[in-house]
Amino acid sequence: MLGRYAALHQKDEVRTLEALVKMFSDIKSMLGFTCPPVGDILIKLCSDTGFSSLVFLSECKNRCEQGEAFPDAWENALKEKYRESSLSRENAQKLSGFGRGLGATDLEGQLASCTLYETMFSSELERVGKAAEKNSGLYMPLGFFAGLAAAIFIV
Amino acid sequence: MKEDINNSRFLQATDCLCAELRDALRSLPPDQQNLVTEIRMRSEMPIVLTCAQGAMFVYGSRLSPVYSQSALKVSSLQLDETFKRICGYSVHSHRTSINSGYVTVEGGHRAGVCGTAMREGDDVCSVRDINCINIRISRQIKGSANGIYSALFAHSLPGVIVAGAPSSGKTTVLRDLARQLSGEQRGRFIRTVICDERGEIAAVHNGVPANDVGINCDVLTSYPKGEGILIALRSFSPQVIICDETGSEEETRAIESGLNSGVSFIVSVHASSRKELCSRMQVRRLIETGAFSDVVLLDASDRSEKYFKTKELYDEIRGGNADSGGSGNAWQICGAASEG
Repeated sequence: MLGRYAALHQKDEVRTLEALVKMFSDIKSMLGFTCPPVGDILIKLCSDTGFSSLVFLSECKNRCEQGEAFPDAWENALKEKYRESSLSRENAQKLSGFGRGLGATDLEGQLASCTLYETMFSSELERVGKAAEKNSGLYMPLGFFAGLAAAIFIV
Repeated sequence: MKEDINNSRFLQATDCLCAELRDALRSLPPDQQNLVTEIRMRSEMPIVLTCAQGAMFVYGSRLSPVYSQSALKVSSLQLDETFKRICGYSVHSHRTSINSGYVTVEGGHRAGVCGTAMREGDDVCSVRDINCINIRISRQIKGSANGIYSALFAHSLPGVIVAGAPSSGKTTVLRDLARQLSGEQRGRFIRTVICDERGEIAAVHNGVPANDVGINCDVLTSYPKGEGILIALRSFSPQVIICDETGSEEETRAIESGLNSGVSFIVSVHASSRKELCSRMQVRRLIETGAFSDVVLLDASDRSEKYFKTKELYDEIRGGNADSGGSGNAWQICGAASEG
């Protein structure tokens, strides 16, 4: 069970990172095409089922609808939902920086920021993906032996 | 005349301020809130509220025309946060209007912004270091165009130029004219199009006008006025087109093209006196189109209106030209509206 849980968690993290990389790409496309305000970007992202694993997005949208300023809403949503979104604390902090900059500069600045974060999270995806692949065979025996050791200890 | 909901416009306009300034201004008594027409914020300077009585400073929950060091000040951080809020935390979406010096916020309130311009050739390509924001509170005063309607529109649809000094209520009058012409109050339901380049007349938000501009009214928001007029003529077969602050060459050409379609134009221009009206090239250009038969000059001091026939002004300007040695045929009215 323990091994399976660890393997699943790593798979979820890979899926979340894939969704994040796609999110940056989508935001860049939206900005380049119609230059929408952040509220509209959030609505579009939340309505896309491809981003359903990014639970913090809908939390951020709800907070904005309740009158919270976007940068605060983004940060607080991440703080509250980063675990549910299968994000590590470090990646959540990086994402928090993206939210602080989103909508704060002109279009060129926004596109550059999206590209920067897209590259950053692509590298992270590659790293975590490789680790997941490498460790996938190890988690199950590791879990088995951990369980066996626990059973021996109890007996 | 009645203003729609007393101080709700003030509350709506202050919604785009940062939390500290918003709370401070909302703590003012409602009767004082209702007097405010502008909120001026400058970095590290006291906040100045413009009222009919002049400039006012904020001390706790009261206003005073006297300045002292304890007046409420605006920090640069507060100004920065206010700027972002005005843009809906989407500065990139407002680039063009920021470069033109303003952002229109929800409710049609215009926030003038100034800072340091970055230029590419003759064009402003970006503005940085925003150091001053001036929010003009837009108010809908139903009935503000009653006098003009009775005098000019009761039995016909003339082309009219509404002139006045800044803050004399030109936009408010245009808004009310649109409401009366196309709405149920008069029952005429005239097909009206508003070319609302700055989003101040109808204040469309999420596709719905925040101001009452009448039932049979179409609004073209953010289109350049010249282009908006042509689109309106092509697609909406309007009886009346209403535009704020008009008079560039491109807009004048668009108005000329509307002349043959039998459309009446109602436009506003800046001019605080008859003399100024006669001397402004913008007004000359408009009168020359022949699309306008009447000029209404709004007097902000006593809220009165003065009416002129464009022909009178035309003669006066021609006389002026002659006196100053200008050629007699330097300009002339082209169309037929002036004859009406």
